[in-house]
Parts: sequence; C-alpha cells; structure tokens
Amino acid sequence: MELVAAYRQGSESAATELVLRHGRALGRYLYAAGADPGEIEDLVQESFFKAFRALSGWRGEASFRGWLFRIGANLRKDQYRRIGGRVTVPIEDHEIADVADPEGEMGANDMEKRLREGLVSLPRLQREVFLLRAQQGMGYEEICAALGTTAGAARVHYHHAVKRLKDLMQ
Amino acid sequence: MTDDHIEADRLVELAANGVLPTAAEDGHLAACADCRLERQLLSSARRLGTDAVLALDPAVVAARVRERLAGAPAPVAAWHRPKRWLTMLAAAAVLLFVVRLSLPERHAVPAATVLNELDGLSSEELEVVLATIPATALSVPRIDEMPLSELTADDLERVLRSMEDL
Repeated sequence: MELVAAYRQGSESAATELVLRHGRALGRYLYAAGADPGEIEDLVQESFFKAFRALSGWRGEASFRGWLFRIGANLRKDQYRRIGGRVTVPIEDHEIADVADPEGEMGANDMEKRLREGLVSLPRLQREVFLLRAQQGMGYEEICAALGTTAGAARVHYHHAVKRLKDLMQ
Repeated sequence: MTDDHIEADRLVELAANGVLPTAAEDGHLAACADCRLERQLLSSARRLGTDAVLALDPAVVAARVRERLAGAPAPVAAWHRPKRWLTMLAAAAVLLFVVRLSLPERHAVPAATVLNELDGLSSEELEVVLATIPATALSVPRIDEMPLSELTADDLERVLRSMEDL
C-alpha cells in the first residue's frame, strides 16, 4: 500500500517496484489459468497498464495484488473469448522424458500438465480461488476482497476445485 | 489435523517451500492416499508456471508500462465519459421502448368498436371527421411499427415522454 500511495503521489520508481514485485507471480497465475505462454508478457504488461491508469479511482477494498490479479484474470477472460474458447497446452521442452530421471521429473511435469488442463476446465470462480489460495498463497480474506465474494463462498469454491482436480489426477 | 485427514489450510502450508510436516502429519501422509494426493496437487500448483515466466523480465515490463503511461492521455473518471452517458441513455430508452411494446395498451379501444361508430356516418360526414385530423398526424408513421434503427433523436424523445405517462 505504501508503494501504491507513492505512485499516486507521482513516484515512477514505485510503479517499477510494483511490477518487479508482482510481475512474475501474475505471469504464473495467468499461465495456470490457461493463457498462451507467448502472450503472457503482453497480458502482464496490459494488466499493470490498466491498473496504474485506474489507480486514482481505486478505493483499496482489496490488496493491490488481489486487485491486479483480478484485472489480469479479466483480460485473460477477454482473450479467451476472442480466440473462441480454445486453450493450447503446448508440449514444452521440459516435458520431453529425461532419460536420466524417467520417473521423478516426468512424473512432476506430467502432473503439472494435467493440473493445467484441469484448471482450464474448472468454472472461473473455482479456478481463481484455487489459484489465489494454492499457487499464490493468499488468505481467504484477501481472496474474497479481490473477487468480491465472501470468505465462506471462497472456501466452498476452493473445496470444489480441489475435489474436481483430485478426481482428474487419479 | 482432524480425525480422518490433514486440514485443507494446513496442506496449503505444507505445499509451500520450506514447511515440513510434523511427525504425526508425516505418518498420516504415508498412510492416507487422499491427503498425499492433495499435497502433491498443491505442490504442483505452487510450481505451476515457473518455467513459463522465465523469459519474462519484470524490469522490461516496467519500462514498457511506464513508457505507455507517459504517452497516454490522463484517465477520465468513468462518470465523466460522455460516450458512456450516451450509451447508457440509449440503452435505457431502448429498454423502456421494448417494455412498453410488451405491455398491453391501457384504455385501448378495439378497432371494431371504432369502425362500428363510423359505420353510421355518411361520406360527407366522414370527410368532415377526416378534416379534423391534422395532416401531420396522417403523414407520420407509428413509431412502434418502425425498426429501432430508423428512429431519430426526436422519435426517441417521444418514446421517452410516452414512457413517463405509463
């Protein structure tokens, strides 16, 4: 919040610091939500641009991080609509079997690939709550402020998401 | 830990780097496939996307964002955007228009009744009645019979005024 206040008072270095602090985490969040890896940088840049532009009218009900991630998720949703609801899960270099460790490494990567596919298939709120909680480590108070829901509802969404993802992993 | 499983919030903690389970939790994880799967799922979620953002340089992103902010016009508060006002007004007018069309007209006189009353009039009398109707009224088509796209600003205003009488 201090950085946000500093930015509002005209500090450009505060803007840089906010991007350095949250940029990669936002990129990981967007990737997990199904964003194409080639478009993550543009989405992150656009999210910060929109956030900084709207910061003067922001009332601070949620944390800056939660608010920023919400903006990113909305941009991701718009992108998803533009491409007609298609999500590509690319075969990346690290997903090619490592002959030196065929069991461990491949198992973890396979799990991540299936997790991402599972996340994309979840209803939006379940996916967002799960990622904010499990990937970003946010507490329910921060999550519900960011998503405009209640802590109880967020817990229910999280519970359903975990159950469905576990079913997909088995 | 509950009687059956490790609590969900604790499993989230255990998925974070550097947090180790207690001996009791360790024993439970060894025996409980469900908790083990959930912990594995959460650990995967923690790592998810790490490789995908390796190429992302936040310093470069920050520089680009600052550049764009410097070149962008000052943001205007949402309520002060004239286009938004006009869009909202037009949307409200269309909505009211549609609602009006869907409501049964009050005090409407059945067409047959009107015709019955006119039946008793002679041609000359009908001419007199016709002369009492202003020429402009005869030349203007009914608004509710026109496509929305053909309504002018004046037409929309008439529609809005008629809504006030509802």
